[in-house]
Amino acid sequence: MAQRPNQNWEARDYTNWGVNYGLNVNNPQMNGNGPSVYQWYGYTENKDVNLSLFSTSGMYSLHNDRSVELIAGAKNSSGEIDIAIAGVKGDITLTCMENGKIRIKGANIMLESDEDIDFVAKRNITLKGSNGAVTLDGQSVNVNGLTGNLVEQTVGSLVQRVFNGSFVGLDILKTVGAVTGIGNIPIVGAAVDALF
Amino acid sequence: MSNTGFVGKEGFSYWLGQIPSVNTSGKDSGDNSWAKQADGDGWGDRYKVRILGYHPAEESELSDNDLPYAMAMLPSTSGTGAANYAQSTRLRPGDTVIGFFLDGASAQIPVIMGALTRTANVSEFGIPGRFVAGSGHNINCSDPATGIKNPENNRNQEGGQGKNAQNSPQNIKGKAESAATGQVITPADTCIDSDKSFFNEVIGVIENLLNVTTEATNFLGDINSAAKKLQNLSNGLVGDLFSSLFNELIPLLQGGLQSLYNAVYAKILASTSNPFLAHLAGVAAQEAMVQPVKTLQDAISCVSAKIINGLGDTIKGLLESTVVEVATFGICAAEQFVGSLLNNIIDEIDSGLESFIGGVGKILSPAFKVADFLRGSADVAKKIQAFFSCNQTGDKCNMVRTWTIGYGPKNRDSVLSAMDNAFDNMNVSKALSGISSGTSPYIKPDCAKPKNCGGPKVKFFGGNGVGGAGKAIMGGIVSNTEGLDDVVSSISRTGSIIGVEITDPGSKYTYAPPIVSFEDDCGIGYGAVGRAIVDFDSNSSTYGQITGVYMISEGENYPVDDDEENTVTDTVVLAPGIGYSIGDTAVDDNGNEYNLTVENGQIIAAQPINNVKIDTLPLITINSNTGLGALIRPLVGPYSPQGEVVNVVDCVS
Repeated sequence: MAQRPNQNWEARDYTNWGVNYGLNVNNPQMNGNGPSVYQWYGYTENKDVNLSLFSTSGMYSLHNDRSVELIAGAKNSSGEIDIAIAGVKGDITLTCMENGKIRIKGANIMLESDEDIDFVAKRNITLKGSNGAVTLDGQSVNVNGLTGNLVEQTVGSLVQRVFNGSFVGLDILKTVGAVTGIGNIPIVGAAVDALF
Repeated sequence: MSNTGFVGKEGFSYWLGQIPSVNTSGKDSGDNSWAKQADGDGWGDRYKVRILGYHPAEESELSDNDLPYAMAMLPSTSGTGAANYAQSTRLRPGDTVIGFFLDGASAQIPVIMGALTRTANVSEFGIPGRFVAGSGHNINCSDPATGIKNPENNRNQEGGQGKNAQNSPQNIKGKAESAATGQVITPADTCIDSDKSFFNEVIGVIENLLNVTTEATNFLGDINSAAKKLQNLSNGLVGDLFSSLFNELIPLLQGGLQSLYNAVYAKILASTSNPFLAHLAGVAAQEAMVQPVKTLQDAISCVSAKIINGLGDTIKGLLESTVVEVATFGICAAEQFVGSLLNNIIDEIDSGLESFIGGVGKILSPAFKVADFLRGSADVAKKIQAFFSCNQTGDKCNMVRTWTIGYGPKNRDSVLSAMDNAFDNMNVSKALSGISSGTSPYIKPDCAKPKNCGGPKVKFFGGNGVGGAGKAIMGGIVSNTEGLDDVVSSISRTGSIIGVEITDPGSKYTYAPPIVSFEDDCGIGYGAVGRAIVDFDSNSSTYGQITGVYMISEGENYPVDDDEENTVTDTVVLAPGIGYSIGDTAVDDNGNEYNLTVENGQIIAAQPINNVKIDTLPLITINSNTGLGALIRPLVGPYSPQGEVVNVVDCVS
């Protein structure tokens, strides 16, 4: 590592409160976002770090090696906003970097977007309304897949599509359980029509 | 206090002394003295002190326990504790203090006025002798950065209250130290294809793994955690491969059913000459295939889950190879890693479906091989029907896809084209080595450990436009940097980025400028921050183009590929200020002078007058008796000597 020449140490100022806490102002040493305007450091005997850093680039970083509590509103009333997080112009991202979960819970959860909402899971997506309805409503509502009762009613399952145009009818497919249907609802739709 | 021989009446008896080791003395002697002080039971802030000229240097002649106390004098800004206005005194054992005797020549009531600052000569190993300054650390105040308690390391090797005088975490290799600094975040991204998303995520996971393993933490735990993450991420890729495979199978099986019917029909017709019987036999043959096809359908979810569960050891093996063999996990190494992983996944799919595919063997051509199909196309994952409808594009997908903690946004656009190479590499590695679990995926030379870093690359991304390219202009170059050989042997110089020469201005940036990033292939440079200047004037010929980059921070330690002579070619006025006058001037610390254009008290432009070569990022200072608040940044470009004046044309007379 080679530090650049002509670093300004004249403007540097620091205050330490013992070995566990300190403030470093105008430290000319280079960070990832340029030199710091200030760095607050807390440092435990177990080497856990709390860092509050404001860099020359204008970026503010708040790091903590262990958990962070952000609690507000103990004296607020219902309906008040306890915590407001807003990005003025750019994106807000929320990421569990390793194998963590993002858990959101509330009496009601509202997701609203001016344009799109995308749900993408690399494995399963579950929508369940325990004591109510699950409603899909849109100008266009489509289903795609290889198995499942919705697929059987619409685009057709793998079995249905393979036997489409063959001499094997839906009755045979049902007999061996290759088509399950939705409850007692008659199996209808394009996929079924294609079989007869 | 009844002694009348006090300061100001009979002279001023000042002294120099040292606070002895806290193990025997310190702020107060005796057990639990600090707690007493905190409870208000003490004697004020006082310290034992060994005074030069009054007390012998040898412990054997006068022990630390027998030294007198000196009360600490407080500045008026600290408060004494009255009304809760207070600050702690911060003198430590080993400090050299200066004071006076409150009782003059009697020399019985020493008062500490202050302390002398430290120099590079302070011992790193406790207090080696009386009247020799020490570190101040002890069992109650150990250095958490080093864990050293006694003997102490004062980490003050660079002199006095200097660069490292703060014992708390410092900047290490360009990062403010916290456990997360340098880790890569890959935020949610539903815009790119699953294979590219997978590729991008893999790079992030492995970069993070390499980042933590270099710090020698929990190696096995880190490997397991990364393997679990990659295993989870593989769900998407495996699912897409299955979808692609089964969508390919449907028409093949349909054709096979028809062929089966035809074959049975023809055979029975030939033997019976009865078309009706032949038809029934053909239908029966097709019906007999219902169960095998259903079994194949049922295999989709269960086989893919088994494959994912079985990938753990394979991924661990690949990760272990990576940690051992890879110095810089760039695109090249990622291509090989993903290629090798794909090989394993495809082998697993092939073997996992073997019996199910065999069940439909009557209606599937023996020429069809699952593995061959999955490997046969470089863009097999692209064949999958896009789930999203056509109107879900545009600004929504123009975003930062990777963020490095402590460094900011990172451009991964090249990833979007690199996945194809991973598929190619998958086939190459399969052909060369028959990749299996535990086999190193890194077969390409100079990929895991690059021999040449090249110079830093300028990348533009984000914003609402398209394209843009530039060349980094280097300055502050340092030769023969210590430790550089550890990274790559061919680089002997590093430097800072003091400007960007625009080689492609891009287009269509109409309201949001792109982000600028600087990266070198070896990942050794850090701290350069630049901002793009875009022409937002719709009447301009360069409307929507990147016209320059001004540097917020020049960074350091970037490998120097080539360096040229540079100068200030233009400026950007970031703040016009107020109150400026015509005739105000500006200069920089490289000797450049600037012609200021002032309108209504504001600086609206600054043009460099002379053509001075520069080596460092200039700092522009405005000379004005009336104005304030303006901020001007230089734009640096290649230096070209001003040609000799050949002829002057007088256009006036």
